[in-house]
Amino acid sequence: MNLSALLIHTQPTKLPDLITRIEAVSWAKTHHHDEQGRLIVTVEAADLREDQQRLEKIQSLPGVISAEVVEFWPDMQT
Amino acid sequence: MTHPNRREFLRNSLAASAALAVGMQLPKEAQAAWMKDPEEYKGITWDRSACRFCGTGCSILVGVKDDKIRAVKGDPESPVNRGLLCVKGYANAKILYGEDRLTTPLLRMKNGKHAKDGEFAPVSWDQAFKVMAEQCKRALRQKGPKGIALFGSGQYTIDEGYAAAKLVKAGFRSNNIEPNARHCMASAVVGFFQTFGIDEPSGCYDDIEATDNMVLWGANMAEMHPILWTRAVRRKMTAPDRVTIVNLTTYTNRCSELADLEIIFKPNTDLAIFNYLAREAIARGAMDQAFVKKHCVFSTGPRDIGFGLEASHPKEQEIALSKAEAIAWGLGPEGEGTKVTQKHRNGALKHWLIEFADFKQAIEPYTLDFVAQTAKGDAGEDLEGFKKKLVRLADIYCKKSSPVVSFWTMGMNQHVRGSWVNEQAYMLHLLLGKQAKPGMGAFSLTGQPSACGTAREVGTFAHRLPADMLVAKAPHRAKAEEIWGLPAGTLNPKPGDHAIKMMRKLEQGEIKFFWSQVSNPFQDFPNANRWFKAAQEPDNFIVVSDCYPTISAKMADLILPSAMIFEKWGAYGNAERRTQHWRQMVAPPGEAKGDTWQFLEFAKHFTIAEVWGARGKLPDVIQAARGKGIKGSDSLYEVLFGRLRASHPWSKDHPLAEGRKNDIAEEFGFFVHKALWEEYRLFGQGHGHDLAPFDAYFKVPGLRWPVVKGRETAWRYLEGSDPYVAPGEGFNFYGPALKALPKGDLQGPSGADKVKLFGSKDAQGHLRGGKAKIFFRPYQEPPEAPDQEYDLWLSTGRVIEHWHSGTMTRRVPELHLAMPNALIYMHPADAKKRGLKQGDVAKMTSRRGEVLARIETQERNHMPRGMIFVPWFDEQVLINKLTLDQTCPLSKQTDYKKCAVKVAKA
Repeated sequence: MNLSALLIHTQPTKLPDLITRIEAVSWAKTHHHDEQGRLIVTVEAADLREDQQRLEKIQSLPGVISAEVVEFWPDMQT
Repeated sequence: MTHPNRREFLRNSLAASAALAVGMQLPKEAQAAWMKDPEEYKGITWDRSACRFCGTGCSILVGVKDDKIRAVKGDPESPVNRGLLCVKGYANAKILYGEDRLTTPLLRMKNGKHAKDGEFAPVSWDQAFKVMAEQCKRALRQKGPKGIALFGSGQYTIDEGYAAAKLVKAGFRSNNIEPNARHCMASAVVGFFQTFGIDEPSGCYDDIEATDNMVLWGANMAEMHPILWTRAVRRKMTAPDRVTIVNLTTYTNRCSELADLEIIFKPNTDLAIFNYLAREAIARGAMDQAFVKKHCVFSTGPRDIGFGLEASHPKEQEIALSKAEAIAWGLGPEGEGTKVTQKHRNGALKHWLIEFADFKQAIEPYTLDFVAQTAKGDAGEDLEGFKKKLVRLADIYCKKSSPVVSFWTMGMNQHVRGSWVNEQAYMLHLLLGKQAKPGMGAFSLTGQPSACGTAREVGTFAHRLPADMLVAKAPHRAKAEEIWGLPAGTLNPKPGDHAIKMMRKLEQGEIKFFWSQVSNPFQDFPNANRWFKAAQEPDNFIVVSDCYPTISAKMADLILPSAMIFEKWGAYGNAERRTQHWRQMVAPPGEAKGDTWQFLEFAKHFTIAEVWGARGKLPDVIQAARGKGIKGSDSLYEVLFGRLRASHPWSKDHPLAEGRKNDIAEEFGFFVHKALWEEYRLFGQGHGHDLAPFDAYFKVPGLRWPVVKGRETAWRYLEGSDPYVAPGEGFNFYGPALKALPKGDLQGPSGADKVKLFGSKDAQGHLRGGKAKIFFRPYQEPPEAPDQEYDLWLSTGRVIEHWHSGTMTRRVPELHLAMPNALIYMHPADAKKRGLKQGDVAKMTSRRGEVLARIETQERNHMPRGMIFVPWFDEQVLINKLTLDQTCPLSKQTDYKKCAVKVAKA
């Protein structure tokens, strides 16, 4: 399993809604956020292709200004 | 299955790490989670490196445990990527571990001896070098220094490029060394030299946040420079009403999704669009008169220069102007059919001064009507709508004091008039006074991680020496000979063969020894079928150093297994003049060795007496060498590299070591990388190319040159930012090359007397009041365009998943699965017309070859009718069998973006 951490930028007012949307998918989990509208999300994926697809999915969610990878841990034991 | 608690623990710990990396405040308990590394990360060591891939030059942190790369993250301290990574950035963790890594030298053999038609068999390095040296000596004996060639890379580390240039130019006295960057950046280089007299951009990435308008000219930044694109997107999102993004392109790519304005133009008509914009700038009174008067001159050059094809090609002899060309050349529509003899095929770089009035007259024909009709690239778009877009583009550029940056990459560089169109970008920005200021400038992006740092700054080209010096210039050779401790006259004054010419010479039997490193020439070169045959000629010996068995490796007589990025120390230089160094982090597999190691070892197989004797016009320097303490029996290794030993000792407790490996230093008994760096930087010191001492780079995520008194330079030529600009100058375009020109008019120079393009020289010889050139360059059509039979344009390029010819990224199973094979991106109507649909296998044919691939009409790139796009990463879809070996006649860079093909059901 690959684990990656994403940094998402959104409008601070849209944070609660975005967190709900992300929490609704099984492979993503929201973590820390701040008053600037920054949010850390972790994503699980089987391989890089899936990582990319899931990143794109998150990038296309309403309210996401940008979503990029901060850290990548490939091949974690599961 | 992981225990759910463990899974959660892993995620929390990663999230905490990421949050800290981007500077978020964390609650105490979350910080505590980070302190508790997961089992896999206990004992992991992180070290900084540049990313292996594109020219953006992101800084990454690489996690190593038990001699293996375990993880990678964006470097939060990096001003380039600010803690972020793109999809290729992920792959850094995996590219070393493809199953078919080459781990031992392989020689084609039969009955225990080298044979061209033999099978690859493992040999020792010593055996490999013996055979290789014999073959190299044979080629030198038969053909002289012109008989050998080294084809390198914009992915060479800086020390590799430097060692390569030194070995070939000083050792073998040959100038036949070229990087694959010739296919990538050469037009940008010519644009810089001709305009500013010095290579590389005035601006830097800080321009992205400082600007209000970003115009992409043939640069699919979203896929090719994703992190820069992220910064552009963020700039747009933080001020959506203020910031405009324009995508000028020949087909709809991913950048169009965010762009406020998309302009689809016909191949080569960017030349006409720039002139339209210049015409508008003047007509609207947007020209910055004071800036232009004080800092610029006007210039032009010959138009009858051919297309870089062989002399026998009909278009290299004469062309008949089309109606559009006739108008564009100021002959009016009645000039259609005018015959032009290509008189300046060998004088394409010539240029001379013209008056502003000449310039204005030359751009007069580029009216909105003419340019819109000529340039509109999508048959489905109506002309009036297209005109409105051009007007809006002119509004953006011409708006007084509104900052604008123009970015480009291969669309403008891989262009039969690539140097011209690069010059035109500066032409427009200089006219508007929007160059070399924060947020304003024409900015050439690079494709490769060290196209700037190695290929250009070190000068691994057939005509260059380090730090912008040229082999043809006696004082430059003298300086190089002095730094390298060579007798006067050692260096060969005659430039070698540029990349395409190298292959043509291999075909003609004039080059007999060809060594490729960090590149895949037999997949990369246009018109590939010809070079396959050349490689197979019985008399030609091909060596390929690589980490994986590429097509080129399969073509070789000898394959040398190379160490990869984190398996050696190294440095890269990115597109904003930022140099980044890294340490060796893991051991290479098997007997794989870094390219610098290969040069040093290979040099041991030659004595001075074998290579420094008289040859053609080259004098014997063996006697003179004695005066420098060099004996004829000394090895090339000792003279070129071993002599550096004393000044740069290595030990495991060296302050930079920090417990890291340094295989090459251990083996050769000195700090090879530091020694090469410290010698290399002598070339650039004090004339605009200053680099910092080796140790300084290990404290920071890179420094942008010139680095003077410990301070890097963000914007060159700008007072207060660039230490080479004196107080009170405002701007100084101080690049020293081509700073004296004859006067003339649009027809040609009027005399031999030259005007100097600067005020004075100071005590150190630096130019004061240096001027930049504003070029007029006309619209010109490419030599091959679609016709009745070959009825489609073919453009080639990259996709986000793969790097170049896929040597590394196709070994990362996930990237390979994401984009396993190259597709033919085609308009659905064009597909339907040919009885094709999504997913069908089709045959593409040009006058030079044919290949099969599947049709894609839906995803990613959306083509206008009449044009297809095919990426070149896939060795099963060798698209370069179809492309034409046409080049910009000034830069000798290949145009891979346009030739004529047909497509039919396979």
